[in-house]
Amino acid sequence: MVSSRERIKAFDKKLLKSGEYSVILSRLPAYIFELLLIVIATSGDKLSEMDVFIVMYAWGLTFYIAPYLNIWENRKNVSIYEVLKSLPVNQWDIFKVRVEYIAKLLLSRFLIMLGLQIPGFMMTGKILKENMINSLAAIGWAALVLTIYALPGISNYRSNKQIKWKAKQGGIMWKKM
Amino acid sequence: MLEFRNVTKKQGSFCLNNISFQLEEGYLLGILGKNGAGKSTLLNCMLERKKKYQGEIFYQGKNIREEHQWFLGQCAYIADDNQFFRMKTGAENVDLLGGFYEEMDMDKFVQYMRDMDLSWRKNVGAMSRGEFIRFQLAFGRAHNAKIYLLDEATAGMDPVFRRDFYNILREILAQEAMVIMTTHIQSDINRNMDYICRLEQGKISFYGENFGGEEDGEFQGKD
Repeated sequence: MVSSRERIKAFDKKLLKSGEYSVILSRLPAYIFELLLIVIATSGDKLSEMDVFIVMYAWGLTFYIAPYLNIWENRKNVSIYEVLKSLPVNQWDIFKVRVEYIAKLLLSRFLIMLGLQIPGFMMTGKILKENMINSLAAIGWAALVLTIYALPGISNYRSNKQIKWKAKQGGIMWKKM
Repeated sequence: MLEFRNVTKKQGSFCLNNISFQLEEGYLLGILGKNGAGKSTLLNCMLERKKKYQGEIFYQGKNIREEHQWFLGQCAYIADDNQFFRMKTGAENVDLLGGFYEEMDMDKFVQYMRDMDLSWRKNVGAMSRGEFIRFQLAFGRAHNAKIYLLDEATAGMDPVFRRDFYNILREILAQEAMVIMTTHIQSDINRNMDYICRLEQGKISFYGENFGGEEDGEFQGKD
């Protein structure tokens, strides 16, 4: 018997595949922030001196996780939680699967950052240990921001708020979601 | 069998009060009442995840508070505001969402859509209201739903649509399923409902078998 979490993962895979082009576009800010972080990590600078950038990096990663939470349809941002609400799937299972994606994403980014800092450290002679702790702090921040962002209530609220805002701006007829 | 046992639900100043009834498979129950009488709230009691109601609802002897995910797998909720991926076709929706159901069958879905003269290649967002309602029926039938919850599905529809629609419901009922629907249309109630549940200010004022009646008059019921 297929578990609920496996069903959610299969659904995510299909969903992302069905909107491949728009997923890449919506993740563009995340890729830009990651590129910037790679440049900084390679330069061997202390990440602790870049608090604002770390928070921005965490925010940038929300674009990476966004295609799992919302879908852009008919000029409306529709929450995936809303689409799945009357289906036989537990919303906390959906959240847990999202957290699993976040954990995997951040672990891989931590390893990449660490790998990039070694040549930077060798070139500049700065302390590797300190940069490792700073990298972990960055990952911790990102994990916190992304986990809060992926919560069902927050995601739904954000989605509905955007619909109402767009209705005001463009005169789009707002319909109860 | 579906059984409501003393279900009470408060929603702001409104209160759905002490609702109790039973419904067997193969029957169509019409829920009647004025706007704000509690018709949609009654349906939502079964669907909502937070289960903020007092009393109990049983389906096939299981308390749906404890077996809610399983219960949702048996349900087909059909309403105007039901969420699907509107920029995707009917078949794409079945492909995406069908994985959550044990018995979803794409071939059956395509067949049901063809039977209703609907294209499974059409985007859900491009469907008319009637097409969207029928698409949802095909979706429910494709995963072999046993409880159909219809919220004002026939409101604003012409008599031809409603005749065809009730013919489909009769086919569904013949497959050991049950249908609960809210409606305002008196002629539909008289002709098509097996049982009637009339709600007034959150309370059941009548529950019983439907014996038909005048087209424009009150339904003829018997407790």
